[in-house]
Amino acid sequence: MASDENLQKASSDEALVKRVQQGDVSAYNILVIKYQHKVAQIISKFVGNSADVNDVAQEAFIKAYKAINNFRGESSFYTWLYRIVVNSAKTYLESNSKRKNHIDVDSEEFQSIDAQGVLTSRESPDRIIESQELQQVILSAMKELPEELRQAIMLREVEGMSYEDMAGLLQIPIGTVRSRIFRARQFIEERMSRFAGK
Amino acid sequence: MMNFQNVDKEELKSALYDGENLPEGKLKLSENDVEHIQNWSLIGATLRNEMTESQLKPDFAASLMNRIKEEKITPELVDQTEVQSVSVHSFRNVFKKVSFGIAQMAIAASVAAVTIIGYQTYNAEGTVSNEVSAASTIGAIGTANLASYQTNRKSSNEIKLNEDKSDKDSVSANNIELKKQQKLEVERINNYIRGYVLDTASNN
Repeated sequence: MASDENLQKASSDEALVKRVQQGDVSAYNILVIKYQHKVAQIISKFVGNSADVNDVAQEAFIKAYKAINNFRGESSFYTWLYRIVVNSAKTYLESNSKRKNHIDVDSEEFQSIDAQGVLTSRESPDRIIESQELQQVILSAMKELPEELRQAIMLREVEGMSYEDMAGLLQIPIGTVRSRIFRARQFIEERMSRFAGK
Repeated sequence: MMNFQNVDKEELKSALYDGENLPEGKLKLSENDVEHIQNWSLIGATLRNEMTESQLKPDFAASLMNRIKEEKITPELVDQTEVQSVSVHSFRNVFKKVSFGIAQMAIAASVAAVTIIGYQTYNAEGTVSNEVSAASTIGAIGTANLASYQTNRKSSNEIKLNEDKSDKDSVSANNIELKKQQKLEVERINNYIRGYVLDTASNN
């Protein structure tokens, strides 16, 4: 599956980062949506529960936004963001170890009470299952995709290749690359919407 | 069947999500656009196996962007301390590179010097004459005469500053040659005398 190295290949983020540096907040919205799952995955290796993962992820993205002018393109945006995320998680762990014995039962994390009157985490098992099912829908849709569309979406999302590199590799115009990637996404989205509307 | 109406416009949004084909001016994302981008992000994360049990809230990105807007968070100016540390770091790198270059040049020069001197010494060996050596011309230093140390070959404690084995060999070779020549000369003279005697005898 995807490696960090592959993600680093995606140099097209630089265009979005430049937009953010020029004051375009919407471009940052795209970057947040794009990397939110990866960031959550990194933080979840440091932090136990989902509420904290959300908090640390938000702090990390805020730090990254404040420091975006320090990004000079010497590494990929993901590499730069990764350092901020790891530092944020470590800072969280340090501060959390100080209040280790102090559990705030009023926090968002403990807002529901089960049948026995015990405080439980807010993380819903239904939500987890639903998410897992959604992933299965996506993977099934991938199998149904025509070969050329599956190849295009894999090269883009898994290998992190730019449109130009893909055009060179597949010996097709960039417009065709763009079209194939979009059609693959559209196909999978349709399956996802069917699942959501069941 | 899929609806391919307005496909060009949607395609461009997909390309925009990938950071390709960005339009001029500030981006304007509708709610529908954000929904698509969320789905594409989820597709990518699933394919890369990034999804974990610790799920982000569905409205994570929206609440983050709201916070940025409400708290009026803006990108800060470049941290000067970081810039300074970078410049110091780069100066160190340059210094290291220059030092390394100088050290390499010094080593190369030393090797070259040793090679040249060695080559010259090797070639000069055959032409060294057995004339008076430099050491013997030094004369007395303080109360010690360095040349005197070389001449006393009987003593086992002598210091032989200018003794050269090749000198010994060449001297003995010369002696042999000299003896040969002397022998030849003696034979030549004897032959001459012998011939003179025989001639004289026959005449008589």
